[in-house]
Amino acid sequence: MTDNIRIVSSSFRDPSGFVFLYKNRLYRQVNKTYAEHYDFLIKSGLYETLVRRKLLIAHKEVDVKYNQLDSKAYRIIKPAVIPFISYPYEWSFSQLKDAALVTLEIQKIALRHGMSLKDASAYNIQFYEGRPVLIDTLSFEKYEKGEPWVAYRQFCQHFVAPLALMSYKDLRLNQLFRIFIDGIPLDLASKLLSWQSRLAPSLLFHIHLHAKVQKYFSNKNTGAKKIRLDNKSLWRIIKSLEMTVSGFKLRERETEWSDYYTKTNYSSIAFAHKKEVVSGWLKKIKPKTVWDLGANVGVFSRLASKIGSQVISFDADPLAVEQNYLRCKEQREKKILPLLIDLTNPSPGIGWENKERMSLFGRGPADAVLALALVHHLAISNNVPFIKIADFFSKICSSLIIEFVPKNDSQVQRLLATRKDIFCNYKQEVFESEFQKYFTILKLTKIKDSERVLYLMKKRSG
Amino acid sequence: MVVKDIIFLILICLIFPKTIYAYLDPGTGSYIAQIIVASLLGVSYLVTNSRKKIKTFFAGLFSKLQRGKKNNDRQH
Repeated sequence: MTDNIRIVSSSFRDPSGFVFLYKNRLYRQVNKTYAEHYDFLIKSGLYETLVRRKLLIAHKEVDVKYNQLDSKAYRIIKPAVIPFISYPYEWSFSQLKDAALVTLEIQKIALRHGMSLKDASAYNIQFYEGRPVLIDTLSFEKYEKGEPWVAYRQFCQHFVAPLALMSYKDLRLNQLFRIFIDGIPLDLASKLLSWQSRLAPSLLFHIHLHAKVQKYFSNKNTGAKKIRLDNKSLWRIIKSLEMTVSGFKLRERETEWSDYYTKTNYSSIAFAHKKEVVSGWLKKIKPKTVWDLGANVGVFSRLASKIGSQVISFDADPLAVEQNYLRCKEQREKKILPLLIDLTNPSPGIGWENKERMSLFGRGPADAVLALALVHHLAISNNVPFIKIADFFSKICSSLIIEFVPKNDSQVQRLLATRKDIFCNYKQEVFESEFQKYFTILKLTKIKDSERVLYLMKKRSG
Repeated sequence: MVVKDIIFLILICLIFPKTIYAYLDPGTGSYIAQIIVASLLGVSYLVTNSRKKIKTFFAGLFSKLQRGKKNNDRQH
């Protein structure tokens, strides 16, 4: 009899082991070739230190019997499960910066235990209970005295280059991650950064000079492996990277507190009523997972997290996501993960066979979706017909809390101000009839002191 | 690593910021870049450190001279 194991498509590159699903549970196989390093990780106390400091995902060694690939197996471990896998192109500036600092902290602790990170991939970091943690237990190797840091290039490509571009040029440049799966090539980052950035020693060293040296030695036989780096120099590199990353700041005009909720046309009565209705419905449906679409800075996401739901707080505005993350961090919020997603072009499957990094769809569905003050942006700014929106929502949730914003609303009028009104079907009755093809309307409430209407819908079965 | 090479690379970095498109294997270069960066960081550490030492030396010398002068004044 063959046991059905499914190897997770993001872990095929590593010869040390792989992640697989077996009877719907997630496991990691440690291969015999990695045995020496794995044993050292445990015996040296590194694993225990990192787990205690919540820097590495905890695991248990288990005895799982399955037939495939068993001859290579040394240990099978069962790591704690990350509720939602996210990727660096979905993170805000501070999320990427925190992930970078955690990677360096781990490397410092590893070196003190006689080990070193062999990978410094941003994809190895995931947000778990509000904090960035390393999920790849097999990233460590015994440190040979005199060896340079093998993951230096990867760290610069995955963290230094995107953070420098976001900090010095534009916050949206982390989107380059979607094209370059192994981080932003340093020659490209060097070219995109301004000439003045060469005057900052950290960028001159880790990006510009680094890129030039890569090019200079690309076709030379250097015998690089003979080159040694003494311990002091290695620590200097790590500390310099740490100073570089800590020094990255958002430009002043981007850090001004965005007046997101003062821009709305809600009266305080309407806003309070909307919160009360949404909160009441959430308590009624008790969703385990909620996707708050167009979450802004996450006011309504917090209503869901308060009742115990695991919330993913999506927005297309990188600054809103940044503010949301900083608030979560400040309030030690464990159940909300703010992410950057443009619903009109959500994350696709990328990498080998388009499977290495999952699409947004691939990571769903959620129990409930919140779509508040969102429909007019999709229908009017992006010309998406109601039927398409309903179809999309039916694929990502079973319960839907959605707000209809009528045409006479000042926010809709603002969207229509600079364009011809071709939206004759943008009416409440059309909205209801189109959505009823996919959902059953359970409740409908007109928001007090406003023209807007809230709906609680349930996905039709079959 | 030859000092000449390092100086040459820093200079081309500052003088010719434009890169040329080419396929390259970044692995080897990164390895060497790390050595160069570490050396440069070492040099900057040395410079800062020696500057501090020189400052301390002169500050010490100056205060010694001051003290000597005061003592001399008292003796006279």
